[in-house]
Amino acid sequence: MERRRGLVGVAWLLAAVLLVVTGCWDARPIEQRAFVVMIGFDWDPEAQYRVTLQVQRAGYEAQGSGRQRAAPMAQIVVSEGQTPRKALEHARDRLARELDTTFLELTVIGRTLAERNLDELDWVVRTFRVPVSGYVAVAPADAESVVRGKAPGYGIPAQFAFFGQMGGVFTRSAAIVSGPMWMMFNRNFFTPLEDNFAPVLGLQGEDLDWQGLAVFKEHRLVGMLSETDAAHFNLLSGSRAEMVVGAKVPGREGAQATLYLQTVSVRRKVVWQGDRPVIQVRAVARGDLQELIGMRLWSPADEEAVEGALAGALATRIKGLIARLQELESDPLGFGELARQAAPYRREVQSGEAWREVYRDAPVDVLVTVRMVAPGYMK
Amino acid sequence: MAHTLPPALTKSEQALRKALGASEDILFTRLTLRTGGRNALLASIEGMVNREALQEQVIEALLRTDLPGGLPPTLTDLGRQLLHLVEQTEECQAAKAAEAIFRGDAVLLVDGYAGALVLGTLKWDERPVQSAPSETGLRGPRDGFVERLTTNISLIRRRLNDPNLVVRFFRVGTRSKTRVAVLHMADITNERLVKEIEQRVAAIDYDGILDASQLRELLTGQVYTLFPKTGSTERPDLVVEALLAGKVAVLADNSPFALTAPITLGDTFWAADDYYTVPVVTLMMRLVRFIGAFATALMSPLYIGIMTFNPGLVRTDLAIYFARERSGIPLTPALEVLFLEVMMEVLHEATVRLPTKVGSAATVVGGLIIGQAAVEARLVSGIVVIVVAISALGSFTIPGQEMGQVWRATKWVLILAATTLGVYGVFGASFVLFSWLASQDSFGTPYLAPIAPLIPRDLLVDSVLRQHWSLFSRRERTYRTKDDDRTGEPQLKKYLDGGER
Repeated sequence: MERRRGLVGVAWLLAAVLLVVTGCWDARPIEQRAFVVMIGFDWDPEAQYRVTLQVQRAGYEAQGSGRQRAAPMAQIVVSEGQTPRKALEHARDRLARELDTTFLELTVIGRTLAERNLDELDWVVRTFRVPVSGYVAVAPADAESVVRGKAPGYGIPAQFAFFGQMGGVFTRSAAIVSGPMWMMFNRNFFTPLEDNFAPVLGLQGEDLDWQGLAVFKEHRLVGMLSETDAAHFNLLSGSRAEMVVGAKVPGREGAQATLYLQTVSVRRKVVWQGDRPVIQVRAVARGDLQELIGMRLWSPADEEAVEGALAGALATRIKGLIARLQELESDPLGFGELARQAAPYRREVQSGEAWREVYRDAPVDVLVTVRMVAPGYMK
Repeated sequence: MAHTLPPALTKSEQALRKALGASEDILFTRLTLRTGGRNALLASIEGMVNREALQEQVIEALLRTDLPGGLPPTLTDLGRQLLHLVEQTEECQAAKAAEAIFRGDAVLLVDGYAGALVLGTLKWDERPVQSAPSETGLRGPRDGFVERLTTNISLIRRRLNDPNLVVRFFRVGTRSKTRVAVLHMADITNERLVKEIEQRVAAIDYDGILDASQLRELLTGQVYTLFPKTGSTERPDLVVEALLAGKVAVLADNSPFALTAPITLGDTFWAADDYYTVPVVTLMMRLVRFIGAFATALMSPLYIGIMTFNPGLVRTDLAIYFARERSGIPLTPALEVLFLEVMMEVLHEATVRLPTKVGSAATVVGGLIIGQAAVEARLVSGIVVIVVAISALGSFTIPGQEMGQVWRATKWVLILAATTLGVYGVFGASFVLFSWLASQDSFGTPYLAPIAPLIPRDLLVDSVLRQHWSLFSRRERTYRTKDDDRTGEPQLKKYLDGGER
């Protein structure tokens, strides 16, 4: 009897689960769905929001005497509205198929909208069915032109952006910063002392091009950093280390070394000296010497000289990046959170505003050690 | 009331004719014995007796041999002195004598003697021992069972020279009176299992048993089941392996299939080749079969689920490719699958029924022409043809046609679940299926053993991985054998001592 009751319970539970999951009511054949793979949001001062959708175009085109397959093309749909949601609803009305965001891989935010406030797009991840694997990028100008951009070699530009570049599968560029959408809108869920960041996706001619790093302060875009800064940002955040570092070797006239970094171990830390936080960065970089002009490695002393020069160059660039971030009062590397971990009860780490007051003038102590894995001579 | 055969030939003939019924295929030969000049009657069925033996060893002996001491007092003595046949028994009942005639024996009635002499002259046309058509393999012995029970038992005995191999005969079928043999190893097989199976065989109450598969249904008694509860094989080597594993084998006369019991779901994936190939290759082949079974059951339902409800389960490139391929197809994914699956089943059935040469032509027509034409006409997409073809191919990887059909039948349930509830439905239905299988048993052995319940040692003996023979020293615990040690007395010492080899 008990067993029977248990079975009935399981049957009811199964029936209930099946009712709340997809069913006949969700049935829609795949070809009747308009898969949005890239979406752009713009705002203009006249208080109109513009949504640009890049939708995969499925189908065949009649060519010659028989049916031949045409390359899949992206369809661009642009619509406006008083709110982003209304603009999107208008776009939905213009589509002949059902709007489906299952494969929304890239959300591009126009510069003016990003500078206004990121919170206005919060609903995208809250109420819209967007995969957690999606990414966010900021356009250096309007998002529409980026969504319309071309990507040679790929049928759909969003695929180029997602798989070819941001996914890091087919690129060795150190300057591409990864900006997962779930992280973008939930960063402050973990700590209020860390600011947002996103890659900058622009155009070179008509083609899509990654152009650096956008940093935020209190959900507002405050600046766009160069590709070099973006590469060092990746290095400091530990997400990507492969990059080239070049330096002049001091004391050796005309000598110049180029190192291809392969692994970098970085320790970021904030220590309190009285009322002042000190930002400490310790990095050990290893790589292959790729170029050495104007000198030869005859002895360990030569090696040390080259390593010292490369370490100095790397430290200078890291200091430059942190100084730029301090100037913008943006803390995407999370030094504020490190400061809070070091001294949780200090007044300066109780809010983002209080932290920024001490952050902007915090001294920076960077120590970089470079080890050449393949210097090119036998020890 | 049983009629006896009286001494008077006219009366005994009358009783025998009455017991034999009105059949016209019974041959009555009237003779006059040289000794004593008595009349005799020889009854047999044409085509079931060895006519040469009957002529030389019975008829001519009766007509030409003169016994110097006159006629002996009993019919048995008459047979011993006159006839040269080994098999001869005396039978008093007319019904029993008639039964012997129907079995293929000849019956001799002699005037003045009560009863009849049953002569073992059985011989009918039979198929020679050939390779098992439903279980072909690349390695291992080629011989397969035939329709004659005794031949089949001899094929097993030839491989198992052990006095512990016990064969027990039963007569099953109130009218067919089919001979059924139950085989087991006395020192290995669980006695309760043997008793259970023998009792079930003895308890069968049905008029005609025509094949072992009929016997299987009557043995297990379960009406609403898709998955078989006994193994079925045409190969004597597999039966011997089953006996050595502690199972019971059931053979029926006129059937080239032997049943083995108990079985687990895993057993249905093992083929004869597995035992003659190196373990790593066996592992690979068994994994391929599992993949084949899952492909058979899941490919089409998953296609429907993904195409209709959950396209997000595949990566973007693939989804866009699917959408492009599906564009312009008038049938919904479910109807597409239904159309091709039904066509595939029709094709399968047609090729099984047709002669080989015509069958291959039907395959070409069905597979290539109709499939290609359907895609060209944009009635179905190219993907669904691939999906259904993989599904069909998957079913062919499973040993024994029967289990392929079982998984194909399972697919239809999952297609229904996918059509109504998408991929969630497929997994929900699969969960229910495996829960139900976990509750099933075959003669007391859990159907999903050694996974549910988990028997770790058996997993390493002969599950997905077949252990190397030198390490295959223990029998599986799943079958609860009396003796789980497969090794015996070491032979090496005897050999070194110059003794037995």
